[in-house]
Amino acid sequence: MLSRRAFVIQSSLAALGAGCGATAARSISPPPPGVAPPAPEAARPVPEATLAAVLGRALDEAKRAGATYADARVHQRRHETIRTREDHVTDATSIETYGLALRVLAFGAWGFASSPRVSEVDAADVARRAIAIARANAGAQKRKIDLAPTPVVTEKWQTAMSVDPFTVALADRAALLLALWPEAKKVRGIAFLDGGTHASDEWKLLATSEGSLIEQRIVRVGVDYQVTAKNDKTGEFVTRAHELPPMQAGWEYIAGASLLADARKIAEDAVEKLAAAPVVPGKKDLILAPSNLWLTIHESVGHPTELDRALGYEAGYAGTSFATVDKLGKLKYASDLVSIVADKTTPGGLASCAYDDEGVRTQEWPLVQKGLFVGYQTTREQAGWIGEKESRGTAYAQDHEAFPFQRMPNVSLRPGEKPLKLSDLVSATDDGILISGNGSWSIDQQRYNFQFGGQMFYEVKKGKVTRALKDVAYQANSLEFWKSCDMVGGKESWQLHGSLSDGKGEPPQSNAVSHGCPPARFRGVNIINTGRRGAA
Amino acid sequence: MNPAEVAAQVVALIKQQAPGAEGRATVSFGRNNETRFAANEITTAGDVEVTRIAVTVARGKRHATASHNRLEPAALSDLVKRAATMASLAPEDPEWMGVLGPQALRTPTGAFDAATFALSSDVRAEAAKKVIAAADGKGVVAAGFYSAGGATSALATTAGLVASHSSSEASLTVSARNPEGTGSGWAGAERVAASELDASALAAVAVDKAVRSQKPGAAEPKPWKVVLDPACVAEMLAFFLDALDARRADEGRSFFSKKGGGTRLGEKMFAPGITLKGDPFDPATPASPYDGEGLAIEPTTFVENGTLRSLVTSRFWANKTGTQPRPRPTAVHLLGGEAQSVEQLIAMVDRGLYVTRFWYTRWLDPQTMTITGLTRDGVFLIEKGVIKGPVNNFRFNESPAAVLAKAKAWTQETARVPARGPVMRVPAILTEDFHMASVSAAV
Repeated sequence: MLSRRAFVIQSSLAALGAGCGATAARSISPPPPGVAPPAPEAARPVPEATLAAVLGRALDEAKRAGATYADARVHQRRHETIRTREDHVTDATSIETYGLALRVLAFGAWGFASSPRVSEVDAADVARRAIAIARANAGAQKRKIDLAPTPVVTEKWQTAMSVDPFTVALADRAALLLALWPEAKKVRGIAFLDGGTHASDEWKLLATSEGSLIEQRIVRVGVDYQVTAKNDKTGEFVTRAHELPPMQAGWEYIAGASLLADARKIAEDAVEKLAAAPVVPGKKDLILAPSNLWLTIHESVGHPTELDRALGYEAGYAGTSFATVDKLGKLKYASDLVSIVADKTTPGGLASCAYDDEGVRTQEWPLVQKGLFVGYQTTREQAGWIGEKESRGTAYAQDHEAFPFQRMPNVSLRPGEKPLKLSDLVSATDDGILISGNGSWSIDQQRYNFQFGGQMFYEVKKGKVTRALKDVAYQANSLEFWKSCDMVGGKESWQLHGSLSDGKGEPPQSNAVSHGCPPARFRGVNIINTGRRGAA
Repeated sequence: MNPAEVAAQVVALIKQQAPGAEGRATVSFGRNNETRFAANEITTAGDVEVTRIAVTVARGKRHATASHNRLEPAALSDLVKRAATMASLAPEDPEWMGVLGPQALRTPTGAFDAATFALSSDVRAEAAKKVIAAADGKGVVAAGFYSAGGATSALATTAGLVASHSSSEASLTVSARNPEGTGSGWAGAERVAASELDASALAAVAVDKAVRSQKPGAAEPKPWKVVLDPACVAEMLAFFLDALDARRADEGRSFFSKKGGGTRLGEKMFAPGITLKGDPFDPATPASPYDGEGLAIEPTTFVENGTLRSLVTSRFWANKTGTQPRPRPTAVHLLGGEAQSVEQLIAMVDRGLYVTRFWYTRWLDPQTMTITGLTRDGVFLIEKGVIKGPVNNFRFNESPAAVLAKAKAWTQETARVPARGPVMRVPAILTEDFHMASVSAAV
């Protein structure tokens, strides 16, 4: 199974990469005509007129063979990356997949099949295979599958952008990265720079047996780079990655970012970190910049509030959740300052779109309200499990080879009412550590014990940043951590960060997701020294 | 058409559409047939046909790669055009080594089983039902994944290299938990042939651990003597293999870098008897005999009796440093030791822990090769050579290199574990001073 093994190699050691940056304003409702350029004609392998017939055939064959519900999807994924080392390009890669997916509910069980060929004949074959699976599985189905109702719609939607990244010349995309090295290497001690650009295009046409027909195109862009500083005498080395978040946007977002202007500072940070004092472990007050806090939200709020996890449906792999159904509306999750919302509607959010992959209109809803656990992420199948009448619209399949299931929407911390900035949090702190950017991250399978690193660590004494530190990670229990939150930045300090790849499920699927937050402060968090294996 | 014929056709298209350029075609036809279960019922399943065609075109030092999954002649022609256009627009890469010519390639035996490639949803569902019945019988809840399939792939270049490889793979993983959520167990296996997977045996191990791990006692975070099941060892080995790179070592940004310059090749770094081989022709680990460029993979000893012998070396870095290229292994085998069984390892421990599996492992510090992660699905306290009972889970911060350096004993038998990265066969290991850093309340 070479393809899957290759996928695992690429994704497992470093899934969830990212990095401070501005958020671009983008419309999430159907954009006004002419704002977003249409996709180049040549990019769609099969004309849309033919697709309607193919999807119709798949649904008809499924119904004829006994399906009580079916959704058929033609899904195209394109991803272009450029990798660089210092002053040269090492890889320019374009990856595309295209094909037909069919999910059926028949004999009370789910079946799924897909094909890279998109024709009426293949549609019939895919239907036959999907039905055969449902039949094979029906004997082991105990619970009745009921889908929460959703309105039937015919809609088109796409990312609003001014520059389609796929129309930007490869050499221009590469030039953006290659311009960084001359700046970075001016700083003594900088030895390497590894960079990459990403452009991804997800196009899908979904037809349901209930009559919905939804076409969507989602474009996402990102740039990552890190420098390595080295001390040849001691053999020590450290890396410093920049913190520009990936975004659902066109190339204008990357072109407008301060990548080059920041390159010198990023390099200076690396050298400062290399010479920094190792942290002294112990309990400290922790100030987290948005570039660090977003990932902590992802792991300690985003994943625990997935309903399938809470009910054991991910027990074999991603795990379960401490936020069990009996705690809904009762559990004190965080301090009163903390309100966290889920949405698939934030402009620029990597998970934002108009409809999910089972045709449900996207929305925003609360997960944690003034510290109380109040909401779950659901799909049509799951809504009824907690007595809700409608799905929250979080079904997603990464490509035509994948079964749609519950995936994380954007999950974000609301800004506080006071107009506090990061500098206000620092001024108010007597003895603490300030962390920006993402380093190492890990959390247990029920989402209690987490340990996070960062990119830059600073000692805070008597309201001032005094010096850089190294070998820092914070380790906590999710609930104790969120209950210790005593300062939350205001609206002006809120930033949208995110990741192009979050893994879940078996077979593993990748989902792009954003998390917005202001800086926040947490009291008395356990700080460890990673250079000494976390020993005190 | 089969993958080799498609690859040959794509090479002809490169020659025709981009005269004077060099190029490589990689074609794979595969199947991923999968059944997933949880909460003691089958949840999702799918039969997925996977086609991939990748084309690399190079003109001088400018190169690019394009891939898609469509076989129609016009689609293949478009793909070559896309790669050629991208290559002409790409900046020069001084590291480009050209495509490879003919390689002396051998074929591994036993890498492919036709029945596994085409395994039906009925067979998978039957296996899932056996697991569910075993769990129901003991009042616990099973979740797991049965995956079967494989691929035939072919690679050809404009310089005359032709290579192909077929592999199949079947894996079954089983988690079991008691309904109260106070105990959890796991078992998993991976084989070339699905017929060698024993669903009942795997279910028995997972269910037994779920029953025995209920209501764990408290154990403190500190350095422990530990017996690590093969799943733990394979998880750590993936990081070890990631670090095993000649260029990063030479550049001074690796655990394998020597202070003052150069690498630690030839250093006795690990416990005597620790030997790590990469051999796709070993019947224990049949795998692709060539890498992504088509470079032949020769049997390689990376660690021999505790001494670091080889590092993965790219063609560019080998050329620059006057050494031999050494492809990233497609299969690795951490050779077995003397212990007859895991029980015998446990019998050697006065006070320690027996660990089933790791979870959410991530790099912490590449300088010391330290990673973080958690234990999961069964941790047991060992006293005076016998298991006393279950204890809480932990977060660990530890180095895979230190685990191999401080290994005291390991099992004769090695297991092929469903793991990330290459095909892996590893023993269970007894090691000491393993840093459990904090307690995890998770079960």
